[in-house]
Amino acid sequence: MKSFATALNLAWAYLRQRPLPTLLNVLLLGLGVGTIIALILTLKQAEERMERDTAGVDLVIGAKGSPLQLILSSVFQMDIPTGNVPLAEAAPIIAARQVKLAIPLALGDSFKTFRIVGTEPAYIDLYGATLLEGRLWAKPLEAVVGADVARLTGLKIGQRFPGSHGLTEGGETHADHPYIVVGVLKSTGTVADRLILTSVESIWAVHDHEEEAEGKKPDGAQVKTKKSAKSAASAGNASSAVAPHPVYADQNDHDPQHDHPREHQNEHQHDEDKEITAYLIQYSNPLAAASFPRMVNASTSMQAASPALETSRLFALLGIGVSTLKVFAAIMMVCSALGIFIGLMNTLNEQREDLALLRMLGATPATVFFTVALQGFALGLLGVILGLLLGHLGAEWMGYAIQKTHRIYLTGWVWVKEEGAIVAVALVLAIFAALVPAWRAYRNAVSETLNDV
Amino acid sequence: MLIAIENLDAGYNTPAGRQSVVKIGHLSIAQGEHTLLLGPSGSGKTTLLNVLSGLALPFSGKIVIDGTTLNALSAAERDKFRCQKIGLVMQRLHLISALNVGNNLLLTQRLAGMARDLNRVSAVLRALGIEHKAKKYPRTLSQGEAQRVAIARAVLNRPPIVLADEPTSALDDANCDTAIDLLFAQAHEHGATLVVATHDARIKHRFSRVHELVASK
Ligand SMILES: Nc1ncnc2c1ncn2[C@@H]1O[C@H](COP(=O)(O)OP(=O)(O)OP(=O)(O)O)[C@@H](O)[C@H]1O
Ligand SMILES: [Mg+2]
Repeated sequence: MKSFATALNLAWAYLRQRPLPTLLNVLLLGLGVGTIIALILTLKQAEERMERDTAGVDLVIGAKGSPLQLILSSVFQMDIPTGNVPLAEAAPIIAARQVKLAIPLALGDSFKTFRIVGTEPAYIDLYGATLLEGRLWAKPLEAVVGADVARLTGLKIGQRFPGSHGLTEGGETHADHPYIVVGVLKSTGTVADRLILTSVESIWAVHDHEEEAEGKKPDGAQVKTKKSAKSAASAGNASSAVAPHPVYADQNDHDPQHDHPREHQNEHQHDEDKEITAYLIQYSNPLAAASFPRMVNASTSMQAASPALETSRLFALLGIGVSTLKVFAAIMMVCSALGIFIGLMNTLNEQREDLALLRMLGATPATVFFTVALQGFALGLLGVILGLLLGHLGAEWMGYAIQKTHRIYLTGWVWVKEEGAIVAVALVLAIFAALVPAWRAYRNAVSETLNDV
Repeated sequence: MLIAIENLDAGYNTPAGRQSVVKIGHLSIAQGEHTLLLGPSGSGKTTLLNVLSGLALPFSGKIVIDGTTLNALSAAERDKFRCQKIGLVMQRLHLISALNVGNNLLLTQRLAGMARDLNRVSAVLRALGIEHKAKKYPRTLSQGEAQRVAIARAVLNRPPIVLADEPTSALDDANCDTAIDLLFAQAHEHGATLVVATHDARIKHRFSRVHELVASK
């Protein structure tokens, strides 16, 4: 024990003797470990988040277009929707016996970039959200806000706020039809946290009145109530070949061309005229996955997309980039271990006489072995500590960047069990790098080293 | 008798076979009998000192130091014996480069299993006139200062025997005298017996006892 303490003292003295190589070794290892940890932290959280967001959703039905876009827009609330589908056409599909639950989603408006989603209370249940205070909506224009929305916008129960057109900032506001907050949800760690939820009717109401009042058609972005099912379908089909989001026009696209008068004047609205952005479907039985999506895609103007399939496709695409980064980081780690090895071999030559001298002064071979091995281990340990610090800081920073664009809260201040494995691998690498030089020091013949002049 | 050597045969195992370098039938050195081991280069002075200090084992024969048969001890026991009974001054003045002078000496106490004794360290450094160098690192010392530190280290643990291997070969006449003066003074002060190996004829007259080694063919 005492000889170990002596070895530790000496190892530290030798490291301090050459601060620059020590620093470089530590930095190299720290960067390798840090990169891997930052990647893992971010990916793990994103994955968990996606899992929670897609849990309970077997299928999404929406307008034709990119299936990935449909999933991103209606499950993760990230991309813009592929368009809308006529309620009339969706009705028989969601009534099919394979469907246990169909939750409607009507998108198009937002408040301070938080999306206003017209849906049903089942959506709140889907994410296991409960009310922190207040109640659910009972009539149009009553809204329940997610935890992040409440926190970041300061919306409180009883407060009124206008929806604004489109999903990003800068859309015109529906000032004469403000929503009123009637409930606030507890945080769930899901997409529900960053949504403003209301009834589908609210969305319809805002846009009906808007159209009546201003005598113009909302420019594509929202659930439309006037177009016939047929024209919506054909428009969707015709343009899906040329544009990714045919019905859902760019929400920033406010050129006068879009502001043409309403095509239909019927004041009385029927369900058949109404449109919805998407349905989140739960199967009544797992076998439905085999035939139901195919049926929807083949026999309707809508498309069916599976969140599980699309997210795994997304991860497969991202995965290439991520695994390349991981390989790079692993190479960095191996290189830094090699750096430690080379550094120790070099210093071993410088320290050869010192080590023989230690033996002459009474140090056991074990002390000499540990004097060298601990130098490698200390470099490894310092590198790993730096790596953990850099990794978590990096993940926090990435989380901050992602939050700015996607309003998804990822943090660097979590631990995942994979970190333990990485720390272990890095330390083992460092120990192995130190082993050969340490063994050489151990075997170093004292009398010969001290006397060859 | 402080040191007794009987029928010693020491040398090296080389690829060509066992190569005897030193053969001594009988040699004994009494306490206080400072001895010079004299011989030309390659005569086996260093080899003999290695065997005396227990750093190497002889092929055969017996070495008794202060009542202990050295070559009957295990390697670990020899290490322990050496750091307690023998102070060594090497031809090249090795100090631990990463430690300052004071810590080099403290390490010497520690490795010998002695209690940490700062007073003793300062006392030895003071006796050699280098107390002010205690915080200096070895590479910043002059040759003469380094030599004093090496002597300080050899006598630090109050060993009964101080072995020195060509302590003067790199020194000019003036420094040569100073170094030998210091060695004698320290040996006297700490009650140690000096055994110095050299081919340096300049210091021959300082020793009462000279043992000549001849190059074995
Ligand atoms: N490690 C070794 N292996 C084999 N032979 C060695 C080894 N070290 C020394 N010798 C041989 O042993 C002989 C004696 O060497 P030693 O170093 O003891 O001489 P020395 O009297 O100290 O010489 P010098 O005055 O030059 O230091 C030499 O012939 C040398 O070649
Ligand atoms: Mg020699």
